[in-house]
Amino acid sequence: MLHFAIVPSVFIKVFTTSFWMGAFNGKTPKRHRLWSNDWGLLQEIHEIGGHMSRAAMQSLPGQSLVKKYHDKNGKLRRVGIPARLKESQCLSCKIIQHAVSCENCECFFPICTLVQGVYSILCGLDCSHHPSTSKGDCDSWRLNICNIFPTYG
Amino acid sequence: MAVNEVWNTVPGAFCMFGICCNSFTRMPLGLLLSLSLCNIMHAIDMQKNIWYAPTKIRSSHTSGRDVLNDYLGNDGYEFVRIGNLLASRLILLLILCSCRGCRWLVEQPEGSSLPNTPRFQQFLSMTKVSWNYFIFVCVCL
Repeated sequence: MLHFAIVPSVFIKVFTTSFWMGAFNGKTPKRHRLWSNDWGLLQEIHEIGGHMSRAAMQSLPGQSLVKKYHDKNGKLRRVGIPARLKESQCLSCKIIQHAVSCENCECFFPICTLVQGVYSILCGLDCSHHPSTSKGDCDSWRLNICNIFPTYG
Repeated sequence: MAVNEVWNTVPGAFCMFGICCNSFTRMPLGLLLSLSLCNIMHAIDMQKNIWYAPTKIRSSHTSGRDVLNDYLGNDGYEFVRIGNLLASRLILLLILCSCRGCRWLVEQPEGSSLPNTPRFQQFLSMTKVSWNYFIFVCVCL
């Protein structure tokens, strides 16, 4: 275990950043945190979704997921609204569905592009996994990835 | 299945992980994200109408994760045990990704206590981190 612990410390560097999901077509401005060993990727995400103005947050179509109220001591408290929370819980799934469905769109959001990258890698292994996917689609996705992140080539 | 997917990736591939955060977040009812690898498999198996159903949403105060129990929470609840299990498996997958030369990304809502769990801290102690939490506890007897 000692040797195993020393080896990763030489090669692995962990970086972290945070971003607003509202900047990536999210319905609500939800703050997220990311950990990764790819600094360039986190920097790209942070440049697009790292900051969000209050006006941009209020212009999002989604309703608030929490209800604010003052308790008997006058302290501001929040409680989640279950129905809205359930609707928002599979955002990553929706992103992946969107990324898979927009085959030829010029969508260059990093998250969407990254999901396409993951999917293209899976498709690159065996394109028969997805019946509606041909090898050409995988190549075009991979080309988009290479345009945004040259190191993916 | 996740290990198989990671093992079949080429070096330089990208793996995104977003484990269930219902026992880690501080939201009153806890937001929930399905395991992203399951979502990818869901995207693949959309034609078969396979749906990986998320677990039940519970209160974060019920999970009882705090510094006094190393953020392991009240493991008498099943959803806390599942959270700890997924956290441990996540770390194993991250180590596997790193050994395979893959890029990985872990996503959690802000305020999640996942990075405070012992396995995650153990993983961070094995690596070079650019930023980390430091928690000082003062116990008055």
